[in-house]
Amino acid sequence: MIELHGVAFAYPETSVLSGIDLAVGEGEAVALIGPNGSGKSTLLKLLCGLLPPSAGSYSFDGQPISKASLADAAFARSFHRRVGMLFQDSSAQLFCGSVYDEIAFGPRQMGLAQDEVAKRVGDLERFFGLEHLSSRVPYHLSGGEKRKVAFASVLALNPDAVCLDEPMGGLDPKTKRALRDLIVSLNASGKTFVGATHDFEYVDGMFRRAVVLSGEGRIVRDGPYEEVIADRRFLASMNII
Amino acid sequence: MRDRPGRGRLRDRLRPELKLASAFLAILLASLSRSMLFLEAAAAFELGCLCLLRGEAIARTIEKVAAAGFFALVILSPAFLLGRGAGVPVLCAKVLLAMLAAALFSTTTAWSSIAAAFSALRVPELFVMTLDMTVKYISLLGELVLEMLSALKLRSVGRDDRKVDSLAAIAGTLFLKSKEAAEAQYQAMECRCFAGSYRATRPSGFGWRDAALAAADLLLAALFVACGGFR
Repeated sequence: MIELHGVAFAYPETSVLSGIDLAVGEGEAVALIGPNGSGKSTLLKLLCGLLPPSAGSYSFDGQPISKASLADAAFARSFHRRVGMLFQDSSAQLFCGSVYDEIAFGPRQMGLAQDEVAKRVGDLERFFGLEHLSSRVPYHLSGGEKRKVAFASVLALNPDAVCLDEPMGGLDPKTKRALRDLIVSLNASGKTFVGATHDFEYVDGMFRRAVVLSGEGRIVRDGPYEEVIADRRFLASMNII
Repeated sequence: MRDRPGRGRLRDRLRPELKLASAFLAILLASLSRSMLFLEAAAAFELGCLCLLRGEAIARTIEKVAAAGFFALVILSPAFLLGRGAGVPVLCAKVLLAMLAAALFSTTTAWSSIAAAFSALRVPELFVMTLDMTVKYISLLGELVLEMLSALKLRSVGRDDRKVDSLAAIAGTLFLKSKEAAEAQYQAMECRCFAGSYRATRPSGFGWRDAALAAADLLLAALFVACGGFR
C-alpha cells in the first residue's frame, strides 16, 4: 500500500530524513519510534502528502505521490480522502464553529449529500460518545474530547490509512486506554495505521511492527513491535529510553 | 468566543439569520428615526424580548447596555453646557436601543450559529470562514499571550530595566506561533480535502416563533414609516 524508496527530506538548513526505504502493507499497524528530532512527524507528513520528498520516490497503491501529482486537485483530494492524519496538537486540527461542523467538514468537502453527511456525523458522534457535545465549540473542549473530535473528523472521510502523530500525547490514562482500544478495533477492521509514539506503556498491543529512526533520520531497525520494545539496550543506545 | 449562550425561553429557539436580520433592522430604524414615539415603541419591543431571557442573561445584557448608555451620556454632556441639550436624550435612547438589539442577539446566539446565520444570509463562504477562524485565533493567541506574560511575571523578580525588550520578545514569539498555527491549520484542512468552500451548520425549518419575530419586525418597520420615517 505505502512504498518509500530512498526517500530524503530536508528543510532549507537541515536534513531531516535520508535513505528511507519503507513498505507498509494494507491493514498493518506500524509504530515509528525515534528520539526527538529524528523526523517521525516529518515522515508522517510525507506519508499523507503534506510534504513532498526532496529525493527518492513515494507511491501509494502503486500511484506515485509527488509535488507534481498532488498539484492535480482531483488526485490530491482522492489521495487525502484515502490517507488521514491525526495531528499531535489537536487544537491546530480543529477550526470549525461546532463539533458537528468539524466532523462534517471532510464529507462536505467531498461533496456528499446533506443526509449522508448527517448520517456519518451522527454515527461518529455515537461511536466516540460526542452526541452531547455536538453544538459545542471544539476549542473549548478538554484535551481528550478534542482528540476524539479530531479523530472523528479524520474517520469521517473513511480513510484506508491513518497517520497518527503522538496519538497519546497530553491525554489522561483512561483516555489513552480508550483510544488504544479504538485504534486496535479499527485496525482489526482493516484500516492501516502508521503512528509516531514515545508512550510505549499505553500503546501496548496497538502496533505489530516497529520502525526505529536514528537521530540522523535514517531507519536503523525494522521488526516486530514486541521484539524491538523488549530490546532495552538498543533503545537506550538510540536515546529513545 | 462564547460557547454556551445565555439560554432564553424563546429567543434561542429562533433561526439565527432571522435574529441577525431583526437586530440589524432594529439598529437601523433606531438610528434613522427622529420620532420619540417610535423609539419608545422600539424600546417596548426590545424590552419585551429581553424579558424572555433568563435572569442571569438579563443582568448581563443590562450591564452591557447600561455601560454604553452611560458612556454616550458622558460623551454628549458638553452639549448641555453649550445649550444644545435637547437632543441628548434622543441620542442616548438611540445608543441604548442599538446596544440592546446587539446585546440581545449576541447573548442569545452561539458563535457557531452566528457563522451559520452569515452563511444563510448568503455572505460569501470565504468571509464566514475567515471570520470564524479569526475569532478562534483571537481567543487562542490571547491565551498564549497571557501564558507568556504570566511566565514573564513569575521570572521577573525585582527591578528590570529591560522589561520592554521582553515584551518585544513576546510579540515576536506570538508572531511566530501564529504563523506556525496557520501552517498547521492549513495542513489539517488540506488533509481533510479542503477545496475552497466552507459551510457552517444551517438550521432547518421555519417555526411559529420565527414567524412571530418576522411579524414583529414588519410591525416595527410599519410603525417607523407611520411615525414619519426619516423625518
